[in-house]
Amino acid sequence: MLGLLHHMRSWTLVDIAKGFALTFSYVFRQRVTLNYPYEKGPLSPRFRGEHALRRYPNGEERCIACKLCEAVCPAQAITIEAKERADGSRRTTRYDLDMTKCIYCGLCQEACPVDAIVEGPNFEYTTETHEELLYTKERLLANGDRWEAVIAANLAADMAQGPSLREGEGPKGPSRRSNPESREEAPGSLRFARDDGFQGSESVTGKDQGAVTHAR
Amino acid sequence: MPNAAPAPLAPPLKPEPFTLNLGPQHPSAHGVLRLILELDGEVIERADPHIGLLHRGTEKLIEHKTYLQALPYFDRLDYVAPIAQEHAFALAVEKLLGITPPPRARAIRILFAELTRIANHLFNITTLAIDIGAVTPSLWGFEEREIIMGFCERISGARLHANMIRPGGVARDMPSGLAEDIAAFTQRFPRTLADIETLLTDNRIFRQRTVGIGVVGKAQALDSGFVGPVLRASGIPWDLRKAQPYDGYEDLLFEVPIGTTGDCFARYLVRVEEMKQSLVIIRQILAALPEGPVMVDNPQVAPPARELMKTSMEALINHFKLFSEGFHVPEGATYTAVEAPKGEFGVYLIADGTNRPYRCKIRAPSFAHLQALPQLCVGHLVADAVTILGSLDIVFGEVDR
Repeated sequence: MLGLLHHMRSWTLVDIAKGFALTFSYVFRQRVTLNYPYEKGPLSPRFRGEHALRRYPNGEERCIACKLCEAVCPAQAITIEAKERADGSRRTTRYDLDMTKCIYCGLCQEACPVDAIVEGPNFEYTTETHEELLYTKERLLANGDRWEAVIAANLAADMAQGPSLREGEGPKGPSRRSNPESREEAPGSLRFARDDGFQGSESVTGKDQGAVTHAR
Repeated sequence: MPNAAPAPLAPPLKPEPFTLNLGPQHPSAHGVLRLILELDGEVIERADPHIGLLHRGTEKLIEHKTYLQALPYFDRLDYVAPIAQEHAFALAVEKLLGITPPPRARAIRILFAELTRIANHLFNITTLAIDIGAVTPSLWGFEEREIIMGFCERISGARLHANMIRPGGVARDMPSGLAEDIAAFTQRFPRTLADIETLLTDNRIFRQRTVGIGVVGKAQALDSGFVGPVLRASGIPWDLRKAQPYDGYEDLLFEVPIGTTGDCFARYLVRVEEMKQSLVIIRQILAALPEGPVMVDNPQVAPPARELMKTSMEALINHFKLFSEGFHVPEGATYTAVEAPKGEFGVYLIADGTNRPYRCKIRAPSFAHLQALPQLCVGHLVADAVTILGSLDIVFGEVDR
């Protein structure tokens, strides 16, 4: 009987027909592709894209040349030189960022104590030459001026989503407990090593690929 | 007349084997594998994988980085499922430091470890289907993978190289709404998976190309050092999430699928079932996601909260110390492994008491699987070599390191 069924399936091409029907049904579903660059997907406020150096609202640059980003950068992409300015404040004279060395790990913006260097939302900055990707301080500040509105909004949105807390600083919640769910049976030639008796015995004899057994 | 001894026949002519160079630029070489095949007709007599084209010296590089700086390099080993690698390194450092991350951080870690497992298996089974000739599943699978990468972007800021799991916890808490969206994903994903299965599991072409191809017996699987789904497909119930649970896997109820035949089809089935089990785990975590901090309360390791750093001088000094010098890890050595989507991913870390690792050996599952490729390919057709390679789930970022 099973053999007859198998032959029936084999001759009627039912598996192939099912596949084609399913594929065709996707014609009527909603389109998921985006017509880039006219349509773009959403970006999270935390997105780590092109770098920017920010300014304070009064136009003063934030960076105080503490060189912490230079120290933490795993790719050693940042080079900073600093000098005291005429008004006595310490500022960078050189802030070079090699975008071709950067690995976009985000540690520079995590390290920055004054939120000066940030990885902004821009990801469309391809160039035709390598030299154009060797960013200078002027370029980074210009990026900051260009993207400040978006960056500030993102930082605010991220803060609203909840600050990062350390143990003992935030609210304490209940500890996690396990939540048993109903176990599902599965098709295919698989059996399960259960929680109890993980090294299960061999109990599979089915010669077809459709056999399912459970090692208890 | 005595029978004269027949003149000795010349030995039958055996043609020189035809040598075929598969890769390193071939799309089915899954990266930069250069596979030299010696063929008799279309049958493989000898397969010789050449590796090292993607060698970046990660292990040596890590010796020159602080523990915090070393973390992003782990993302770049198995770039198909980056979070599992970070997890292994963070666990190794935590073991040496003797700290335990808070419950919420542990829950977020295994939540994303399971999401990355789904992403990895989706990538693997759909590209295996492409290698065999079925393009449609990849279009559906990559749509779901895109959603998972979107989750990674929302928690960390990067779709792939997340740099999210840190020694002592995770870098950032989940943004509001993310847990709900992951829950919604666990509702929609089974439908796509069922569609992919409709195209593949019962499809006669897929079965003809995978059933009985690249069979690995139990003994061979153990001898070759197989791990993960490839080992389980050969019928050996071994999963580090069960055998030596970490980060709270011991509290979760899930099953480990075991294959019976050890062929490419069994490996495919194991991966499909593992995705379903990952969904079960994700639902359990989301149902009981603990509240609270995501970083251990230990100023020696964890940087202070940003708000505190900007108002407290002591916190600022601590912040500078941690981001420049980094934390010191006491002298010792550990081998810590996680069940990465491809199998046991281990980090052997030797600390000498300074702020940098003395040595960091990485045990990559793909390497063990690749070294069995020559034995698995012999006697099969050229097209089957591609199938076997696809079903072993090899990523060259972690083979060449």
